[in-house]
Amino acid sequence: MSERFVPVTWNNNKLIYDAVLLAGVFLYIWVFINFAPDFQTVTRAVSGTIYKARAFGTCAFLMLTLILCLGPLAKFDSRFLPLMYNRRHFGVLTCAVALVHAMYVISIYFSFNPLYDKYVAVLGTNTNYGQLLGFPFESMGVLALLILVIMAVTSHDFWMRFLTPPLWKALHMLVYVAYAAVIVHVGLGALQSETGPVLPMIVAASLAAVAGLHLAAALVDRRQMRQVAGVAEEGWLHAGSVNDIPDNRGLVVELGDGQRAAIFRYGDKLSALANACAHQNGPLGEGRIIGGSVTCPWHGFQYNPADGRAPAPFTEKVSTFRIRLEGETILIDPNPLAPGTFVEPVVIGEPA
Amino acid sequence: METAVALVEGLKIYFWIGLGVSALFLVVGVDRVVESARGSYIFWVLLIPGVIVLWPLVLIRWALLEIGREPATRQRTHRSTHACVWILLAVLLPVALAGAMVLRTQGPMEAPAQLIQAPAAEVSEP
Repeated sequence: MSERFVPVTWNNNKLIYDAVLLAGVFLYIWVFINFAPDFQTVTRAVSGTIYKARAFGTCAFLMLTLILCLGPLAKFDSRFLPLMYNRRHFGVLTCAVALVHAMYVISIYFSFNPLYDKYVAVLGTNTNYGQLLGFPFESMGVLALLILVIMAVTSHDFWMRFLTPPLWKALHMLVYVAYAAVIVHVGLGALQSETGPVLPMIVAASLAAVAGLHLAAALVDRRQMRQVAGVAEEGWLHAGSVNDIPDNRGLVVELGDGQRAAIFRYGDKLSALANACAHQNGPLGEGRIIGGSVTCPWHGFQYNPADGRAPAPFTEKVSTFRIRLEGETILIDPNPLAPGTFVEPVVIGEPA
Repeated sequence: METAVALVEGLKIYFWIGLGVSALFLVVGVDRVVESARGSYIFWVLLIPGVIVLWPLVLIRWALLEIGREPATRQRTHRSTHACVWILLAVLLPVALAGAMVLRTQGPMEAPAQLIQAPAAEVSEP
């Protein structure tokens, strides 16, 4: 959480996470370089250096696939939440692996042009953008790499604070564009010289998993939002019933204009906060109240339910909302209060 | 090739300006605009790549923070954008991949190999 920024806030969980990640990457590269040549199915034999480029390329592709699957998986099954915890290190490592792939490719294919700089050769050797066969697929790889670099260099919490969460999130949602660019890069690049079924099947499986999980997550999210009814009276919206919220849990409600609130029940009290965590926009309403604080399911950032402020010495705060009860029905004022504004909790059973 | 040369030259200029902006931001700006960054000198080094890559954005945000413009209080989630993006990608990406596979099965790589022979040398009559 906040206080003075440090390069990386290490703890045992992060060390284990990173150690497993690094071991996985090294193991994959080693197995690929040593065993893949025995299963060569390309139309023309390739050299050992090209295998290294492909080892890092396929590794980055699989890592990107896993990263994109983690969000929806954690939504469906809380056992995946620990993998979300340090996803930014996963992303930075993916960027590093993709950079090594790019360096190998440039050294193999573009470093021997007697007339032009190797980077000019990457962008200018093939400019047939108007045709599919022979499309300059390298440019799609460059685009994806550029996005991964932007995400990696802005992965620290400082950037979220400095750029503001909406802008930071918009930048990091470019990962979907990066994934689309990688699919085109692989489809019009490596797949064109591959005659065996393995690589096409891996790419198709990745696409099915990533697109399927994200569509399913969007569908579930939409269904969950249907419980929110319309306008109750001037300035207030129906948000559901008290009985819809288990103790120490939240109910997420759509307020229109893309804004959501999470109404928490703790004992006989109710409070409402913005659903987006101030850290990385994690879904607060899918978290729990632990030790009296709303706890984000992604990274454990905590907030006091009554004022949306992180416990001292931390300084994060989220918007709060006014709510009231009519019988068992919760009404909410859709206009958020300034982050950190105290709102007296509503007591269940007490007359309004 | 001229476009590629201009692009690479432009990127080099962008990089050098970014390096200058990062020096200025770290010396003058960072501890003025983000309280938690004050005195974290080792951490500042980590910011250099980000400032180089996003220096126009950094200058805009720095200016806004200097004049005291606070970000909006509304914290919108990104779920609706997320749903639209994935409906679009779930259609476009399989089409792109299928198109690539069709190209592959009909492409020049699949054409049967042909033995290329040099034309017979003409033998001149003595």
